[in-house]
Amino acid sequence: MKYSGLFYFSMAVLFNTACRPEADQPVDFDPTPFILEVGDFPDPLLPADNPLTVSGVKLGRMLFYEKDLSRDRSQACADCHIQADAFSDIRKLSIGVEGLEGKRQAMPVMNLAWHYNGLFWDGRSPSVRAQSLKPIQDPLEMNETLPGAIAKLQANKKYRDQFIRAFGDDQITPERMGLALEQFMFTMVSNNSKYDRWLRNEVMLTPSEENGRKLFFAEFDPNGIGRGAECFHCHGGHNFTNDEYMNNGLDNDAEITDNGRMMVTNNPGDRAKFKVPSLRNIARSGPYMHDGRFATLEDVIDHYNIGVKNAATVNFILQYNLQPGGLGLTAQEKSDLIAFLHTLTDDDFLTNTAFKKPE
Amino acid sequence: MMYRFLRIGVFLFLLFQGTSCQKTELPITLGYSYPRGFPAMEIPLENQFDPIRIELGKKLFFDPVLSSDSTISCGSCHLPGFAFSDTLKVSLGVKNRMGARNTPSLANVGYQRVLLREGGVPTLEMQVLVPVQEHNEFDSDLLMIAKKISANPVYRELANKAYGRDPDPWVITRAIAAFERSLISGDSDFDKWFYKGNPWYMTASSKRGFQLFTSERLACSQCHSGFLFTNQDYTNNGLYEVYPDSGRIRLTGLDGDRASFKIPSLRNVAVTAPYMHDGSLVTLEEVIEHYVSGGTQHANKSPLIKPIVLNMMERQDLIHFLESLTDQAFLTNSKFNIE
Repeated sequence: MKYSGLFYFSMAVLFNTACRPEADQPVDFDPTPFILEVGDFPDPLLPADNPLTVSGVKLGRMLFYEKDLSRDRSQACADCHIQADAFSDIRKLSIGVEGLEGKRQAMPVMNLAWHYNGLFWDGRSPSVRAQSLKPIQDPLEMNETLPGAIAKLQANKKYRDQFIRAFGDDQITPERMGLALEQFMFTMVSNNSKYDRWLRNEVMLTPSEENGRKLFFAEFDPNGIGRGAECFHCHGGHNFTNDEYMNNGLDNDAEITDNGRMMVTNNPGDRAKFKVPSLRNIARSGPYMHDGRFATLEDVIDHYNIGVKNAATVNFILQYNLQPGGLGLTAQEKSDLIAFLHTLTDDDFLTNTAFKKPE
Repeated sequence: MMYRFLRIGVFLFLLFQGTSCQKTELPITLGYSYPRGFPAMEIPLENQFDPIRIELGKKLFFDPVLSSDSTISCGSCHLPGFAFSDTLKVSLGVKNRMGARNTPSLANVGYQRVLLREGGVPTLEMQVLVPVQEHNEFDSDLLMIAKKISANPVYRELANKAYGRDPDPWVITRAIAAFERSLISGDSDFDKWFYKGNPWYMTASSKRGFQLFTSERLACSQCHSGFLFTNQDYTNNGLYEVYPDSGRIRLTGLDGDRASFKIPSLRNVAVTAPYMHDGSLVTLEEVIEHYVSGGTQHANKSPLIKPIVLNMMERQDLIHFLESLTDQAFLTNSKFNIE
């Protein structure tokens, strides 16, 4: 027993000396560009002042999974943006480090390189880099100060080294944290769903999926001859969103509790408008809507089919949804639409090791 | 009559002071330059920027040896994470004695033409003496401090490298002033947008707040103007009908200066709460509420301060603008902090 102290001491000496050569290895600025593969997507318009580098993306990935960014070191970004759930949260509202609920549903983190019109449900952040620092400081989320987070990172050699590789020196600043997180999030591209492979003629859609696809991209026919679900007006394009803020008729004027975009623009015409979300991986990113009120895609389709309520700012596109009987989708059509929405699930994205927690 | 002579004396002193200053570009060795939108700083000839002087000043700034019982340093009340102010209404000096006024931020203090709330001290070098001797602060004596510091070989070596002499009161005041001048903060979200043209940081709400701030209706920028968001003038902003602290009249003796205080810079204002010379307003919301109300009646109250109508959204925008003046890189810069 009396030797145990000596044992630990000698182990410590051994361990220490064994580590030393590695610790002494110089770390250099490494601006090797990161080549972003976007496949059939259009080239994104990335900010010119933050070129993607391999070391910057790696740093962003480390930060995304870093629990030290929260006050009590218990939560990272990735704790509410979970890869298997399309980097969103299956809880209606996420719970922060103080055990408090957030105000809105966690948005999925994917294809942000093609979001040019503000971030968050209300678009209050002008860029991903600005957005990325907000949850760290939100008392309902990670509840840490930036100086506090930086002090923790600064004490960690792993981060000092990675900041050198990414930015040339080990000064850890909030701006650099934002830039690195932005770089990593720009690389999170989901473009290989069954639907994408169908576009490339690599797979066939089932009859149900195919019928759902047709409904998705067709307009409602007021004469009742053709069938259409109108989805593509807002959820169009390669990213299944028009990147706009709209009121989709969840509540009538008296019921609105969250003024959404109006809080940002100060324009009453923007009341209860929220970002039109991308539908990629939608089957995995429930619950739905800014407040997570719909648990399932069935609920969502039911809403658009016959549940849309009128309010001053509800978009005119929903005129047919608002009339008695709504879109009149049959049970079969609804399940076809859901089958199609499932083809937007991109398993490669959901399991891509490049987005997993770094070792 | 006496005051007139005093004023002429002060004027001549300032004139003399001015001739010994020059606009100085920052040496490359400091690792940074003046932020875009910031002019070169006027710095006394004998205390030009030098990395060793700044290092010595930083060491002294955070060294409790400056206080009579070695319990507190400059850095005890001027905390880097709060833009070199603290979170208390008034700070505590030695033996927990309460200070008289709210601790001001030292961000960009090198650009201040005159120091302290009534504007009585013309240089940072001279200002160092104030907290050192103040009964409620360090309650100490610079000669005694110099003696203690001179016994330390590290300080002796640094002082000789920096100024070519042992750490005497001259060196101590110069070095601390040099460090304080290096506390330049000009990389807030507002700066990134307004001065550097980078669109990725300033939110639409903050931009609207800036419009409000500079509007004729609110007139905030009549006093909080320029790159520092202060015109460095003195005014009464209608805080009380009767002030326990008589402000600038203590210096000038002029009735028109009664209860007037220096207009502070608003850079980093979101982290320098509480507000006002006495720290009586706790949040930015309270400050805005004060200005919206138009303040109480006081003979010297600025005519710019009158009741205004501001809706909830505008208040939010204004606060978002004030928050966009926070320079996070400054607050977290290890150059300005001790390990």
